[in-house]
Amino acid sequence: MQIVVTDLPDHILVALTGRLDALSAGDFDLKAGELTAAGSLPVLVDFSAVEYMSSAGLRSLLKMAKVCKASGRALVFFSLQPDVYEVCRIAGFTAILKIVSDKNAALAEAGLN
Amino acid sequence: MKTVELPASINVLGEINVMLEQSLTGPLAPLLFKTQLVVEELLSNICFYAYDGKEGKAGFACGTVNFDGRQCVMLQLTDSGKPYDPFAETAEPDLDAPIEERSVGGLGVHLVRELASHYTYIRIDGCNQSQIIFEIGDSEAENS
Repeated sequence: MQIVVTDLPDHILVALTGRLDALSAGDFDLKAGELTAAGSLPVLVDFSAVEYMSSAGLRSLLKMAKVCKASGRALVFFSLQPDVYEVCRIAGFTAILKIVSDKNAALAEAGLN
Repeated sequence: MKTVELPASINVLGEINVMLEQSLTGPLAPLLFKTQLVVEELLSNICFYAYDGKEGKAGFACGTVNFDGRQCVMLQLTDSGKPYDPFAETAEPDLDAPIEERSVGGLGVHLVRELASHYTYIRIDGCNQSQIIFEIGDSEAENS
């Protein structure tokens, strides 16, 4: 999985590409841990190029969301492909994570537009 | 249905995914996401729990079967680890808990239950065997 982090003036954009599964979740956790360890800017995660996600990926998202929630930091996931969204829905994550349709909605959710 | 025997390691996931991509083509291709997910979840359980951290084997098979008069795709996962029925012995996760209290324990098996058309477990010849059936065309029907 490819993880590209872009620091912008008012938020951090994380663009993911590939598969978030048991093989890649460790790398994602490391990166997510780094970028949530300091700072308070909202984090927006672009899922448009994530073609697959398993419970290992769900575990990573939950871990990241708990850290952000504890520090009062906005975390928004956007542009999930239908199959990946369905995994989130079945797991009940659509109720506990901020998941929105596209980048504009994500910016709005984070209070940035 | 041909069974391949692999080391019980999550590192074989890539190999299994390629096998599924090669098997599930044409009208079966829409099942690729679900089947890869189900195999990953069951294989993860085998890798992390079946052999208590020791080395072991995992058997994997995939094929089409006739079930209830319908053509279906069947996945089969086997291991010779300690007896464990993932469907009976894995608690349903609390999907309504707030984020602070949510744990992902049991989520993998929950996904398998929800995505499969049918699933069954038996202990046979000293092995755990899970069989998962996907009705072909099921995913389209659910989305319409």
